[in-house]
Amino acid sequence: MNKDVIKIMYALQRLGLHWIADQIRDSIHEQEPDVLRTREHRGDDWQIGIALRVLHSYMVELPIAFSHSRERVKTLLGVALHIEDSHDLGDDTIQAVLRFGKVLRQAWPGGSENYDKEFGRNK
Amino acid sequence: MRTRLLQSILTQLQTLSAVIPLVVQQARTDKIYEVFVLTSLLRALREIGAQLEVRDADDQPTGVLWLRLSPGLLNGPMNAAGFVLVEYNDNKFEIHSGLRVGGYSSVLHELDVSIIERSDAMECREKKENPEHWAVKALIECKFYGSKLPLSVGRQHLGLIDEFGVPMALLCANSFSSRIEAVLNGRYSQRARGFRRVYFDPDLPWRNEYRVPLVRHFMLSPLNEETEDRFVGWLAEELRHVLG
Repeated sequence: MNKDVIKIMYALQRLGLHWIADQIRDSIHEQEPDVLRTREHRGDDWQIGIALRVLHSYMVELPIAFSHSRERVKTLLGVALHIEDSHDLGDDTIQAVLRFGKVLRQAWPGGSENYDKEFGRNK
Repeated sequence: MRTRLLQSILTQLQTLSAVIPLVVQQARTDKIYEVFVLTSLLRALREIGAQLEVRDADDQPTGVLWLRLSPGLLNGPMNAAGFVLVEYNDNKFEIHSGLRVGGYSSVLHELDVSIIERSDAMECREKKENPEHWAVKALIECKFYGSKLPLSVGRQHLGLIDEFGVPMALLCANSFSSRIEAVLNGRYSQRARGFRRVYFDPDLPWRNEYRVPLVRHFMLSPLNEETEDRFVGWLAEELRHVLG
């Protein structure tokens, strides 16, 4: 497996996010046959793509989904949203999430433009 | 990957994991996405002019939409959740999140987002019973994955359809799976079963000519406003028929 992906998975495990690390590993194993069959084998950058995509989903897309949902419930229903055992995300947290998205964009194997095509937002 | 970028990712991961505890448990991630889809449904209901009011577990107006993390019963003594009361064309419904409802087999299944007949829900509250499949007007399965959707998601959705046979059943996901699409399309092709086809695809015209009750909607994400707007518009049109 790609050594950078291993470092990311190790960091996730250390932070108690084993299930995200597992999802990266499982996705790589699941997609490996297709990758090897459909394109010339040019290194293992595609594994970085999978790892960064998973990180983007859980560490960028999901917090933004939570933030949007809270705003919308307030706008559409005029009430607060509370999910059991979940805490609100402050503006500082959302800014940190957006900064992380920018780093992922820079690190995207196909380049930043390719990242924008994939996710189309979060520039 | 450049060392500087990798280091930056690792450092920021550490920071983020501390400030966004909602990702610590996988159950929470599914719930967050479920609520996001629920808000898309609310947008669609607003578009068709439905009246919306938040109620608590005791069916009283409230200033907080309280949702439980895990699926539960309508009358759960410990964690009964709030819901949204909907009034449209003199008909009343309730929108629930993570509600367990009895299917044709009488087995209880979790419905991520559901629209239930108000009269049935009130009766269930009074009698301390669980809602049954006939009370469900629409169900939405919500799946959030970091990568491609596993095929099991499509199989589960088909199983749920068989257990409920509701006027509207949607599978919403932030991700994509060509294999699930193939499985659902295979079911769509069984026209003899008399399914009403409702098919939404952001790359295709608004409505296809065929109509069955199985719908998949992939790539629905808060980061993809255009797709979500189109989904909301499509959903609004469908709700006019289903709730009208």
